[in-house]
Amino acid sequence: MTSQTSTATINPSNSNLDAGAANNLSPISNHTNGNIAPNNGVAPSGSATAAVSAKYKHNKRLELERLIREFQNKLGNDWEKYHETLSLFLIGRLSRNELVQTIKPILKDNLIKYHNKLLLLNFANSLKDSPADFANDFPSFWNKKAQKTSKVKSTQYEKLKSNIMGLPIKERRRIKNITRDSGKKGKLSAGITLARHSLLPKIPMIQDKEQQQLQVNNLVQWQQDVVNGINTPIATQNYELPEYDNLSRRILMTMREHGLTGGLNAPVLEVILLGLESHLKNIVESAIDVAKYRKNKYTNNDYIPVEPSSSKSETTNSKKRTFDEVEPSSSKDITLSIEDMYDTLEMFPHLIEPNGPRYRLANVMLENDDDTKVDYVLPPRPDIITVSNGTAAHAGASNPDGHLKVGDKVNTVGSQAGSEGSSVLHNGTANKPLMNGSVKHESESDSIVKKDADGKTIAAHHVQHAIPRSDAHIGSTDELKWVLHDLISTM
Amino acid sequence: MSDNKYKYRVEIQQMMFVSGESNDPPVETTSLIEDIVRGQVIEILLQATKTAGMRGTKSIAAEDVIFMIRHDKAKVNRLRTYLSWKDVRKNAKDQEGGGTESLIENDAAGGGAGGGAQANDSSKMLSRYKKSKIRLPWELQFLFSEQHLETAEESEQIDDEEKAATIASLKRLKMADDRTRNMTREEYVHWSECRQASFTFRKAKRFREWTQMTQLCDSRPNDDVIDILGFLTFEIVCSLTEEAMQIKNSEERLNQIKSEKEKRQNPGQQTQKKRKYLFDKPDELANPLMPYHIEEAWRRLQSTDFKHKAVRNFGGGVVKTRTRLI
Repeated sequence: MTSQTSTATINPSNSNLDAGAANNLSPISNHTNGNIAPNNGVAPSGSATAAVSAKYKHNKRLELERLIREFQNKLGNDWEKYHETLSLFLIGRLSRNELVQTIKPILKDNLIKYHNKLLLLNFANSLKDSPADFANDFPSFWNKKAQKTSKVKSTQYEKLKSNIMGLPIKERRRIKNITRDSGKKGKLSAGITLARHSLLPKIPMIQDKEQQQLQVNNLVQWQQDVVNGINTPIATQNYELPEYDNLSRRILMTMREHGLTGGLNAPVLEVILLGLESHLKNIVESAIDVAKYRKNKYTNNDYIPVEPSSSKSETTNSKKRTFDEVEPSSSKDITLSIEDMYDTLEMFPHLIEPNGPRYRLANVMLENDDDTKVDYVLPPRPDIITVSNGTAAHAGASNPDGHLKVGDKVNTVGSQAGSEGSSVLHNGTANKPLMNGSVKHESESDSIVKKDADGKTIAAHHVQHAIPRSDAHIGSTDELKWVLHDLISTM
Repeated sequence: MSDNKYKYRVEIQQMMFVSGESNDPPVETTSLIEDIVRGQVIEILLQATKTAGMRGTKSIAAEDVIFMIRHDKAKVNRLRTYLSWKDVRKNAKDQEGGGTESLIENDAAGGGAGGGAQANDSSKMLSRYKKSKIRLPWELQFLFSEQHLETAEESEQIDDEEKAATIASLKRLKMADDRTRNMTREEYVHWSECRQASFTFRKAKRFREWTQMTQLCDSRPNDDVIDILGFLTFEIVCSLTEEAMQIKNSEERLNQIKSEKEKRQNPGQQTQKKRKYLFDKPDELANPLMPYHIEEAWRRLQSTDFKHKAVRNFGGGVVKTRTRLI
């Protein structure tokens, strides 16, 4: 293209054209004199389709179809190439130089005028509103939708928006941080408080004032239910499956805590016990499978054994077998031990939720009871006397001759494991009690057993009902050691 | 007349008789089985409604129900046979009138796979009627938009699952054969009456009320679905009974072995009474199925298989599953 640029201003007033007027183009051609190159940065909208202009006063689209027809006829065969090149330029694939180079040989003198006209008309159309009267066209569907929603914006919204935008940034931030829950009374967000609340026992409460007067006696009853439930021993403590009365007390407690104030039917207990038994049977089934059959299945019997041993159990398969498939001669009584349970839960972790007992199994219970080895030195056991109201008064913890001699085999050096919160003691050693169960096997003493027995006898002898010291409610580090020791060594 | 919550005791007793239980089960056992069956039917309806909802409709079609049991090929085949007999029956009614109706009714109402034994004389007649093969939309050939026509050789090719299905049906036939071999005529009549026991045959309305179908399904399921449910309930009772029988037998074996052990250990103490008195209990006590057998059978049938557990195995937590359809 030539470098002549004309300053043709495209006024909106130029677009006051009637639809279908044949001399649409003449006024424009007066303005757009010939060799006008489009601006570099301008990418007029690529739609060269004919626009039926609506009868608006302003913002009518300009008609392109005639121009394009004429242009097409003039170009003849080259129209394809021109069309393609121009389209690629408009979407950015070709640069201006490439466009010029490609088109220049095509466009003879007159045709440059058409080219300019086309581009400028497109540009003018792009500044007007989009065509509104596409009755059946697909874009008009979406445009109508867009037009509808745009009217929903009311002036209230605009007012509110302008008000808010006038506030300082701090206020705006504060407004943004308001969530649905804020401002409600009693809402806590502190995790620790919430955790403590969930651990406390709760009783139901009636909010309605009149009902409250009617049912005030029941509050005491409900409280009693909850307390009873807390006090019933659980299976970990009495090593039994729950019985009906235990279970009913605990169910009642849970009901009260969750706000149910009614009664309890007998079939409820049966269903719960049935569910419990099924769950336990599933676990025990897997445990028996592991203990009895898997060992045989997974031993390497693929090679022919050297000695002609007859192992009947080679025919096991992985299915859990019913009892009548086991030959009676090979029914050695197998006892399930804790190691078998550990293996089961390792191989089939989907049987239970990972919870406290599972971790305790792995960390604590695999120790043998006989090896009462302890890598720390326990101070002499403080005498604990339980008074009738349940509080423990420590009498004479500083028992000078309570320092037991347990022979020469006292461990002096234990492994240094980090202990949570217990201070370093100066009992002549610098031991810290171990908190996890990974105890090292050292030369140990049966000191603990002895200490227990001796400690108790000594406590019996040296019972002193002394006046409680002023700081009797604060335990000493010796007592702390004993508490920790008790915790990790009791079953 | 007490308003009894349990309505299907007679049918359940008959079905248990057919599956191998020769003693009269107590009321608790049949009540428990009825509760289990009702729970299963409700589960089927819920899941079928969900499947139908995914298709975009609210009404349950027969394919929705068959979809639930698609993994058990043997059962699907039996169900197809059962349903095709229904079609035959309809055609027979139209074409031949009342003559063959009763014969075909007996065949169709019995549990599917065993119909072969009785259908021998009527097979000539019935072979004229085309058994409409029910198309199951999830089978392999329907995943493609064009299905090629089945040629004669292809329809004879049997894959592994079909083999297993055939073997299962043969086993059933053999079991039935064993039981009925030495029966007298009256006993056999009783047996074949019991085989026709169904929850839904001619009792569709009562069945609907019993399962509270109006509360579960938006639109009323059609008769095809009710028939399929009747078939499935029969199968549920049979599976439960068979499993419970196994449990009872192994329990008896255990007791036997225990008592033998005791005898061996204490040879001096013979606790058995030598003299028989008039009002003694019979020697071989009848051991009907007790509720705890059924509970244990239920637990065993609800176990998830390994492939479902293996992937989740080390992700943590208990594998919680929906109730499985027996």
